[in-house]
Amino acid sequence: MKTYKNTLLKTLVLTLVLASCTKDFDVLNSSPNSPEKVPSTTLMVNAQFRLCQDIRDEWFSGRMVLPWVQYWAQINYTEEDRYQYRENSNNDAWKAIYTDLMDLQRIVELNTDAATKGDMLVYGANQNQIAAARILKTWVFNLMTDTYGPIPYHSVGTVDAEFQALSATAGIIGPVYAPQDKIYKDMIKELKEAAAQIDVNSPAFIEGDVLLNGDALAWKKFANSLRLRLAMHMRAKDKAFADQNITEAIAGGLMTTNDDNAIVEFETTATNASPMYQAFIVSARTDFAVAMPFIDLLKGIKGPFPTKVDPRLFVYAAPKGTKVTDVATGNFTAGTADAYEGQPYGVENHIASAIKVANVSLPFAPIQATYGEVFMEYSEVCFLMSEYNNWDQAWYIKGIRASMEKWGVPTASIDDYVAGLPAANQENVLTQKYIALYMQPHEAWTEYRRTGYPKTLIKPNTSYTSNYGTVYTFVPLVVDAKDLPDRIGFSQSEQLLNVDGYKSALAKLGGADNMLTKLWLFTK
Amino acid sequence: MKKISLLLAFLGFIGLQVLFAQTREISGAVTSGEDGSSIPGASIVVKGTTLGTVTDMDGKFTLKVPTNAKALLVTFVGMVSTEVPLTGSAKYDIKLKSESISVDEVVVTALGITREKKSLGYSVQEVGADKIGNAQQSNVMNALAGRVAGVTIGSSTGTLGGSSRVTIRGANSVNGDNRPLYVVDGIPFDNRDFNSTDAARGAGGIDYGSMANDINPDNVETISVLKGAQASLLYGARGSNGVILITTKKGKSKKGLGVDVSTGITFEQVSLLPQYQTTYGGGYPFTEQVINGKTYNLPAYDLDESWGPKYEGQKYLAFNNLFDWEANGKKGDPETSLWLAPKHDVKDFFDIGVLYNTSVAVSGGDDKNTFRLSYTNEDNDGYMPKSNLKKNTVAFNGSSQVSAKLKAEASITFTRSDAVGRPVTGYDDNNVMQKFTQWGQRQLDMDILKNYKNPDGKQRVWNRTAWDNATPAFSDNPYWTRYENFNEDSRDRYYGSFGLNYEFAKGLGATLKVMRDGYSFRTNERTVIGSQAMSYFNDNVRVADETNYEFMVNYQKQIGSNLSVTAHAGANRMKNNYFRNSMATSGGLVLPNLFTVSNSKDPAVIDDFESHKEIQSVFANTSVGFKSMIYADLSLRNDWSSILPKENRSYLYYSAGLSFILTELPGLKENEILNFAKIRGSYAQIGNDNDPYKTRETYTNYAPNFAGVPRYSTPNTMPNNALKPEIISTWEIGGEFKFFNNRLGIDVTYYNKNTKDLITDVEISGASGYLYKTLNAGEMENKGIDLMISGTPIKTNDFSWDIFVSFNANKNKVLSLYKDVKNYRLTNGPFKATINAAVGQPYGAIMGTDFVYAADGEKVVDKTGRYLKTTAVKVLGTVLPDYNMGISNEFKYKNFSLSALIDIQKGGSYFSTSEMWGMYSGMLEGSVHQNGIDIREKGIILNAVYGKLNADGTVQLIDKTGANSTAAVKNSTSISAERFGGDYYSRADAQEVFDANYIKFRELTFSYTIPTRYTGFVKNVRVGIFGRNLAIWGLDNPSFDPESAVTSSGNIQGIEGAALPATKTYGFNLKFNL
Repeated sequence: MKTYKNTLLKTLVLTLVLASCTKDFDVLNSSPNSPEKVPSTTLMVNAQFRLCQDIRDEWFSGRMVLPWVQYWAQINYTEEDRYQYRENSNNDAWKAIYTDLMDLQRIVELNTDAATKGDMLVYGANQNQIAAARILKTWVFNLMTDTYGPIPYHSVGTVDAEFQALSATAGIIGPVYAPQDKIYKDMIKELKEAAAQIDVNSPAFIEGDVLLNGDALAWKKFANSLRLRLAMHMRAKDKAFADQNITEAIAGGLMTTNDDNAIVEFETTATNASPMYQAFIVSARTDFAVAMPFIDLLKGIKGPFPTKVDPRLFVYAAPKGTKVTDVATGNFTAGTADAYEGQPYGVENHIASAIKVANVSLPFAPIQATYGEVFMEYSEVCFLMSEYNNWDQAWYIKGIRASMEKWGVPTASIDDYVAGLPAANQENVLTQKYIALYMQPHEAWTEYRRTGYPKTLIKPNTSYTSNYGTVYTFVPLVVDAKDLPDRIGFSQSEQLLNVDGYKSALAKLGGADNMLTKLWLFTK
Repeated sequence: MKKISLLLAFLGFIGLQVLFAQTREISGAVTSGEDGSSIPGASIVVKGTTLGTVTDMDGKFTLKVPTNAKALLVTFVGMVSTEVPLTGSAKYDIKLKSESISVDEVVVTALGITREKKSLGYSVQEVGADKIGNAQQSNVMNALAGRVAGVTIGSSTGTLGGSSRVTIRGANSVNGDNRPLYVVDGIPFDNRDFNSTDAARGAGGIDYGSMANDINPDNVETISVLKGAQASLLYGARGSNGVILITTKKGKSKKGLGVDVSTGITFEQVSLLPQYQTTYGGGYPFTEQVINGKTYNLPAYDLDESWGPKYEGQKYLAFNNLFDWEANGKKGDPETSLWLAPKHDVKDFFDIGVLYNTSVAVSGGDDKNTFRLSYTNEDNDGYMPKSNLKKNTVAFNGSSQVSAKLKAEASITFTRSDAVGRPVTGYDDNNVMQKFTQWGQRQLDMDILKNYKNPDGKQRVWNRTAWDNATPAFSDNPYWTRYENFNEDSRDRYYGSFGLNYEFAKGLGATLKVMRDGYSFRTNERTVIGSQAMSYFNDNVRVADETNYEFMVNYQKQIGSNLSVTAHAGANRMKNNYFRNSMATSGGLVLPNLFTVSNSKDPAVIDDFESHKEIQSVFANTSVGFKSMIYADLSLRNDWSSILPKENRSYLYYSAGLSFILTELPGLKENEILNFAKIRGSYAQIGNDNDPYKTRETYTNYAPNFAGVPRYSTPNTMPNNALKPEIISTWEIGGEFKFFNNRLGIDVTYYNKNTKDLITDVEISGASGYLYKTLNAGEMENKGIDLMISGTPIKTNDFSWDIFVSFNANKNKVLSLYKDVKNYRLTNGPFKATINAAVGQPYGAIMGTDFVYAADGEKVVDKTGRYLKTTAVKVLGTVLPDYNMGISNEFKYKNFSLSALIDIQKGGSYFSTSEMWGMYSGMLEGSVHQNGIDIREKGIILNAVYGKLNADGTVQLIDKTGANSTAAVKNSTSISAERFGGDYYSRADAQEVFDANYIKFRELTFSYTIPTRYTGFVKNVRVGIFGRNLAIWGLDNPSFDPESAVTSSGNIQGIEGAALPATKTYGFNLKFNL
């Protein structure tokens, strides 16, 4: 019995020894794999890289908005061209874009929080970093609200019970949706405040800012230009407010040359290549060609510019029959406009399949590895200024020149094209803007819904004749679709994960959660 | 002397024989005490020596014994070991009592503590070696299917060493581990699987199987299943999902060396393929092409669909005609082929798999030392072309009574497995089933495809980009896929333990044990240059180890004649480490045929990860028995887990049980009809932790750098620095009853498990800035019934018939998640449907869009004649079955033995991605014939009424023109077969949800043991034939085996995605002793 007691005692001692050596548990439970602190530059480079890969990829762009505005068309399996998108593409884009926004919001927090703002100073002035993050956030929210309507929104400068996005750290895991009119007004306010807080004598970021190379002045111009865009978007809804902001934006300084363009240029390696290079070359899928209505517009066969072939045709597309590997390496000769043919848009699968890839034009510049994804560029500013000044001719020509120069069109070709161009008017300016917005499908889509231009797009359930005489029909897969989609349905994941938020969204949408409900911005 | 013999024992050279000068010969027979039948193979050892023998087929023995010998030790599996005093007599008739039906049955419980079964307040079920080895299982888990009540086993069909999903009494945790703990000879055994989420959800990947596949079934003596937390409490939190306790074969005290040999051959054959259509070929209508002035019919080479022309023997230019013509320098005109259904269809693609299995074990021992050394070799050619798995296992265990008080035990097992060409599953370009079922062309003939490569090394692919462009469009030739783009893996696994057991005094002892399990696992995948996809190579190394140090004191005492006490107390320290290094090429390979990561065109992509975890514990258990009639049991354990924040790190949990043996009551004792009756009940509350690194936020790196700057992002999962342990409360009541001279036995348990504060990465709205938040969230309930019935309808000296039924019905319900969060998405299908833990639903709810129904229950179509689907997602089914049942019958006649096992599953659902794409692409029979009508010729009018959806989700009836209607108007709009098939993808997800019911002829074994008199020195020669999964009935969709949806042992279940076909296996084996 004595031994028994001894043993018990020993067990007890062992217990205490064991219990007391849990003090290294904190070390044991800190992750050896990932850091708790990072430079803000690494967040900025990630956000800029990811936003391109999440918005301009083969799914959210390639199989949704890019074909809907009829820049591209799918070669086979045309369901998405005909408005039947994959729910997963929508869910994935939604989630990815908001998590990208979180990186930007974190930059704001790191540069605001007293505990960390000192550490961040070495990467750029605190105010400039905050401003850059606010501007880029606004660019993203603009795209999102134009796509869905009411969305969960977050503002750096405004406290509002309806602005609940990106607030998980504050305990809000199911944010409510903010109405679009309120979002628009606040986005414009954010841009105003961001532009105002920039110190142009300090860099914005010492590195990692692939969009504007850390240039604080360029960020300021981007902020004002974007403010011009947003104000023009909503000018029909509140002219006084819009004009006030346009005046201020112009006074604050817009983009003045292509050097001011906000463009993320990609690299030659497979992992860092442009989104569409990844689709065509890395994933080895030739799924898209340039759409017939767009090629026909560029060739002058359709639309308001019948006199000349747009020289951008030879940059936007490759001659028909060029193998994709040769397109990616630029190993072909451009030839004449006759060598270019668009993929008929909106046709049924068996019609699409009968059209051989060799008979249509693949995209050219956008599938290069080092292609630059445009967030906003000078040519758009010119077209906005033309519109603001009642379809001003000078701005119109500047816009066309800026676009062509950016795409690397030789000056002689530009001069030649501009020489024979019909004068500025609403249709000509907006159609040129549409041509210039190639590969920025979300903005082109917004402009179509706002203005109804270009007129060259093929409407659902209509037949059209190709230049080689074949009649094709756009057969939509959404019943009652009569025009381009008005919006995209809310991410299905929100129905499951954000029940109350989704309810608030339905209440603010003013219609059914489908593609046919007009957004506030586009209601007359 | 002791030391030397110990050493020798450990080196496996036992056989030391002490020679005695004087011996005499005795003889006798060993028979069963119950029915007098003879017992062959019983071991008889002279006590205190290594001298001994084994009884022959008739239970007889002769033995030379030293004249000074005092007694014989007689042992036989399933019988009570008996000591027979040696008298002067030369003849001994020894009767052994059966153990299995004895009320004194002893079972192995947690931490290897053996307990009298009658004293337990919970249910434990054992499965013996005879049930595991006879059908030559290569996987221990599958051997349990249909045999253990409360254990649900989904085994993937026909993957070379693929996964089995095992849950005991339902799922406890929302996104934590629901797999039971495997313990092999006391060693906690890592049972992770490394299948990607994509592999699990049918989106593509390789099913490597779970690490528990390393357990060699040939070495298993018994499997004891501890189902409830009461039973497994001493294992701590990890035992909360139940424990599968495996005891391996050990050396026995007997004369000289024993050699056990087992060898077998197993064939595996594809038994179920989807129902393919055989009327129409690939592509769309032919197009015409002029080559050298001649016009040819071209199929749409570049499409991977089968909406092509009807087979009418049309002349056309097949892909192989073009390749032959090109190889010949395009001289002359290409040959043409006839457009006909293939002579060699999909089933001819598959081989008959062959598994050779040989196991040799040497064992021996004297009364102090025992050892067993075994070697097993498995060589398995899968049914997929170029697939092979080789496995070699060496295991050793030994024990030595070092002194009267000290006993030492040691074991070590080493397993090496090498696999080439494991089948790829799911929606993956390297899964041939995806190309056969989801995306392909139906006219392709396997005999023609077999010639997959030109002499110049270029691929002969049917899916050419165009007639004049041989680049693959979407698909590789399936033979190219198998023979060129194969994967490889190899794994070294070792596990072992060393233990000392010291007896301080009678009834008081202590053990000290060190246990370690570890492995390194290397996998690589390749895509060769010339494939459809960019060339690629990756190499992944995973190293895992776990060490447990355990100290335990045990105490046993009989107090007076009525009271007995057993007690255990101890401590454990567990350390777990894991490391992974993944490397992959980027941008393609530079040199062909060089498969190294450094052959990467762009800088290789590297990803590494490690994790460390420690749990320290103290525990105690005591059981008090009164008059062998009432037993009370109490267990406590306290854990300190490194993964929890400091203030919540320590947590205590407990269990209590009561067992009452009714047949010990005076009035019921010695009852003729009711031989034994016990009622039992227990309660337990157990805490659980989770994975490390969930308490502090860290940034996620995305390699490689961009613009020279590293990319970091806020994490997708929001951490939680206030995490608490999960709490699992469970109670069970049950009873065991034996009737009619133990000919009928019933064991029934009702259990109720409630888990709360589950550590869950709750999926939240992405708009919050995070996708998941780690929370103590959720409450889940499992309740159900385990029932085991065993019966022996006939038993004579020569013939016996035994029936065994196991049954489990489990009802699971997710009671709550977190605040307003009503749904946790476990995964989504690769295209549609999600698998969820949804409040109010059973775990694993399949959710998606449904058909729209009118008020009268009719489905609704839009004015174009296509089904409407709901905007809102709905529950379409659940992956959990209502019940599982196994019925086995065993017949024995003299030396013949026959057994058959039927396994039944009722309820549960799965989502089929193959049905969706197979219909979309015109591959499946349903895309041609509906109700016997060729819908490609006639179109189809869906049985529905016209309507449209209002904004609020209600239905507005319409007429054919789309105008609102008050009355339902029957659909009369015909749609094409292509539209009908296409809508399997674009319309309601409910179209692809099927019941997971099945009835399987799981196992049939037949064996004959040759009487020793014919076999000389070779003893117990047993030859057997067996078959597994011989037939399947009751399928909702005849194209798929519901079990084929299993491609992971983890929580993600219920999605079929180009699943590998179901297979049947059959073969024969031979076992004997020397």
